[in-house]
Amino acid sequence: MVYTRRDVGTLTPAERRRFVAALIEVKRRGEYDEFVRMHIEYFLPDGENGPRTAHMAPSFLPWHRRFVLDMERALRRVDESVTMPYWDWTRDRASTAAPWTEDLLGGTGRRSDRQVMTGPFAYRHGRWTIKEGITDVEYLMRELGRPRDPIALPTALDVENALADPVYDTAPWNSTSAKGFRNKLEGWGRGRGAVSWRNHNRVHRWVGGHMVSGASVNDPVFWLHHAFVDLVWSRWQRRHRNARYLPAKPPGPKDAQHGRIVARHERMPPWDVTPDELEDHSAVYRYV
Amino acid sequence: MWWRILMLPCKSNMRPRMRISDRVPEKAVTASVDTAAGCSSLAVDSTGFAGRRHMLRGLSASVAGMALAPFLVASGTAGPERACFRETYRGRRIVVVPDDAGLLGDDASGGWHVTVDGRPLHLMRRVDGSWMTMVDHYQSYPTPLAAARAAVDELGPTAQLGAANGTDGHTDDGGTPNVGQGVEGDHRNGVHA
Ligand SMILES: [Cu+2]
Repeated sequence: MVYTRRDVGTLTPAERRRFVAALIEVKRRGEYDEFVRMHIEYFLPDGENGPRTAHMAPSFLPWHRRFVLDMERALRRVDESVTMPYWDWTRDRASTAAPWTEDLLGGTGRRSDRQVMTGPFAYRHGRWTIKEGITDVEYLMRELGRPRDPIALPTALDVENALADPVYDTAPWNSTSAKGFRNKLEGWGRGRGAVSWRNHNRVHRWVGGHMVSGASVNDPVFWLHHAFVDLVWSRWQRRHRNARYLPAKPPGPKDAQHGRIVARHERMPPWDVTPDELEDHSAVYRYV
Repeated sequence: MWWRILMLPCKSNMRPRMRISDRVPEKAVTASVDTAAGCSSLAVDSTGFAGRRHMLRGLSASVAGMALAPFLVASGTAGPERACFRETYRGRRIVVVPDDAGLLGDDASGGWHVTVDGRPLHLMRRVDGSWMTMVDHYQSYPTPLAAARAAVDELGPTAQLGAANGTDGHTDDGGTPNVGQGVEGDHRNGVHA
């Protein structure tokens, strides 16, 4: 049966409790850290050799769609009533609003070491110890809005600028693609510093702490963020009815991206699934 | 800028290379550059990974010692672009070692091997020539040193590189994590419930 994914701010207190409890149980079972490892493993920048599937590539969106779906399945094995909520950062923009409340993800980290001290994922509860980190830090870290050098969340207009592009992705199919919905949403912009972080990337930066590292999955907001990115892809598909995932065919042998990106009907590692098979989610879930 | 960068040319066999006043100002950056030639003797290490780590740790330790050493002007010519570089930035020891010959193996990327407080910082390249690290992964920087400083900014005052379980995040065996197997049985299914 098709289930719905909802705005995290609309969950009832009981739904919030069950979502948090499911996350903590998936972590307790050891499954959560598998996801953290996998995301670290698949973050290969485009200046390195080798195939890219998760980032700086056309399959950024289907890769994360499947990744979120796998986590959602893990949560639903614990509690069938749970679905992945999304965080609409174009609307919920305050560091005190959902999802940063005591009954959801807790708030920002304390100033001295960015340690999250509030909510169910605070280290002192002993239920959210970071095991797959880039550093030796065992507590979850956040720095909402980055007070030492403030930045703002992307706006509805920023998202609209991506949505308006009628083409899914364009050559050279990497972080320098100037046109195409995918990179405008993924957010590798030109220039240096704050102006170059857009949409998806900028949100990672705004949350700070673990979310800016290769181990960003350690912060459960990763899933709420990527559920919203997934929703935006859905919206784009509805607006551009005939537009499809690109490239449709693999780049030829003379192309620098030959063998390095996933075309529409090619297998997308680590799964045995193609972007084509992930384009339509309407038989599984819908967004409300 | 709130920091100062002091670069002094030096020969690799001369010990103190940094100008440090009696009191090191907080947040100061102190730096030294070796010529490429002087550096290569540091970089070449035939004992493999463990030996290399040991060597780099030792090197860093001596840099730490120097932080308290009296001011001493070294002689020599200014370092070329690809030179060993060491600096103390926000109290962290950054060492950048060029590795043109690939002597440092997989752990060095793009011809550079970088450590922070003696621990390897894995550098990765973007296609536009900029650099990024696992610590700061949604942004890139024009040089390996800039990426290393950004990593130090993200580390904050106490965190050290290297996970609690002893890896630096990336596994080197190229293996696929078994999320697919462990979490979900049916692989070939697109979007299915
Ligand atoms: Cu992300």
